[in-house]
Amino acid sequence: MVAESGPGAAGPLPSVVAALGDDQLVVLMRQGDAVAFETLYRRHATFAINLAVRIQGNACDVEDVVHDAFLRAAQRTDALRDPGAFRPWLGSIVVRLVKTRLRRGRLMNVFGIGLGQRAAADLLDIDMLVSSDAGPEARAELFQVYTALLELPADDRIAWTLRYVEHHDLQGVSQLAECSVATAKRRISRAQTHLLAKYRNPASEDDSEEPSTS
Amino acid sequence: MTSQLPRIDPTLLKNVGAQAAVERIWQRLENEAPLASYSRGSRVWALALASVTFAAGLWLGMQLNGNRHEVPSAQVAAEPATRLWPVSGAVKESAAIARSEPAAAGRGAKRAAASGVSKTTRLAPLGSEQAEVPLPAPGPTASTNASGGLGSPEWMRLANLGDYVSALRAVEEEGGFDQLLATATADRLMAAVDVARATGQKGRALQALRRVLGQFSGSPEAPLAAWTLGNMLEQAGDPVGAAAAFAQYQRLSPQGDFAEDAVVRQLEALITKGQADEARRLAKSYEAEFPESLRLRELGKQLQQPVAATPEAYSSAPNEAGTGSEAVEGQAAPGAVVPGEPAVR
Repeated sequence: MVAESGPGAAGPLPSVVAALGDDQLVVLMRQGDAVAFETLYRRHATFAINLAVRIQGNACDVEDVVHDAFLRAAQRTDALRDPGAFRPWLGSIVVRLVKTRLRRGRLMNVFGIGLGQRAAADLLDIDMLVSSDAGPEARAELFQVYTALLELPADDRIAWTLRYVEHHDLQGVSQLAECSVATAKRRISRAQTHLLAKYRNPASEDDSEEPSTS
Repeated sequence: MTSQLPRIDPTLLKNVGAQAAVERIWQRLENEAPLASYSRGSRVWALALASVTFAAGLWLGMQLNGNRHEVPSAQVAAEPATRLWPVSGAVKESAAIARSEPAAAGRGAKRAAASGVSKTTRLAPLGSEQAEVPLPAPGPTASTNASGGLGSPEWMRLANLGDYVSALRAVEEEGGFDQLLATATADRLMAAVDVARATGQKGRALQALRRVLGQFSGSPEAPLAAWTLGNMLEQAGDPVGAAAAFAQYQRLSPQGDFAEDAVVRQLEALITKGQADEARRLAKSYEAEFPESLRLRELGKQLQQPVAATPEAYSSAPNEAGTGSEAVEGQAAPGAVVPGEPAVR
């Protein structure tokens, strides 16, 4: 089986393996089955890439992040208690890696050896976020929201993104962010407060002199 | 979520996980045989060694860069990725400094981040270089007219407020994009890029970026313009233009934050368009400049493979920003040793 997934293999995976559920693939992966690992990879790679891009706001080094996430997943499957929960577990690894990158950038800034706040990870790349089908209004809205998001601490930004961009429920946010539901709520709330203070609805621009009636 | 913030429709988000990216990552994973057994003991030692190295590097970095904290404006360089909200003149000035040459600090940090090892020999000059970053000189190439300041046009005010749709309308009412491109200063052009990108006017954004690079190549905005142009052209499927833009970034900001990325992106573009010889020459230069790069090995493998396309498959797309591919001069013969293989693990 391993030989079939050798270098350059681009053909279809064995249909039997491809039909297995995540839980069964994880069990096989624990036994060193490379095809099971490849099947899991191909099943969840897009999810991982999109998750990383949407948290970061750009695609900078996202391939490195996803690569590292799968590498860790492969090496630490024993840590996965519920084999059927591979996807959220992988997501939590991605989130942790992105968070580490975001924090590292800020830490470098604190010690004066960083890239400045226009660090690669903080550069918003709207074209990597918005579908070409989105209209200019939706695009501008997202641009504005993301610009405000990038100002937030990593934890708050991640929690809000998971909740309102990725549309996970609170339980899912807490699982992916590896925190309690209460902590997830607090982070989302802080982020929400910041975004509300920053966001300007173009539709209410004409009434900008009147106080907000949220 | 309150009614004030827009609901983010998942169907309007881009699916970034394209097959090509999925395959690239898989090739790396496959080569590393992640399911192979590994020694926990060696991991512990590696972790301990990395911790000690990091602590030593951190201490040394703080010693060498202690005086940086006496220059608050450099820390404030804090202009967000796009200028949505009004900023003070002081902050704008700091942002201009940061844009002009954040210098070797960026490269050092990126290398440290990439390798996990602090390179003290490279960190050494950071303090002095950072302290010597000059203020942009007043003149036609400098951004002397602060965005959103007194006398700034309505579209700038709206752009600074984040209302890009209205800003775009205001641009049209104030004479149109063409007039803006012909008369705006570099920083206004970059604000126009934000407006254009935020509203999906990619062609306008490209025009504005090329204008910055053509007319204001000495401005602090120029390196960022080149970098952004490279990204946009790459996404638009123009590897020739992207390679030229990344090469221009290197020329404008050889010590800049994205210098290494610019070389890699240029290399990838050269490989994509089939210019293997130029790619090898650039790779040798890259190896000399960034010997510890984790990406060398991967790129070396790509260079050893048959090229994906012939040069004729792509027509050179000259633009105002710089034309053609700017390969590094060199004498490497075809089939020369591909860098990176022995040096990087």
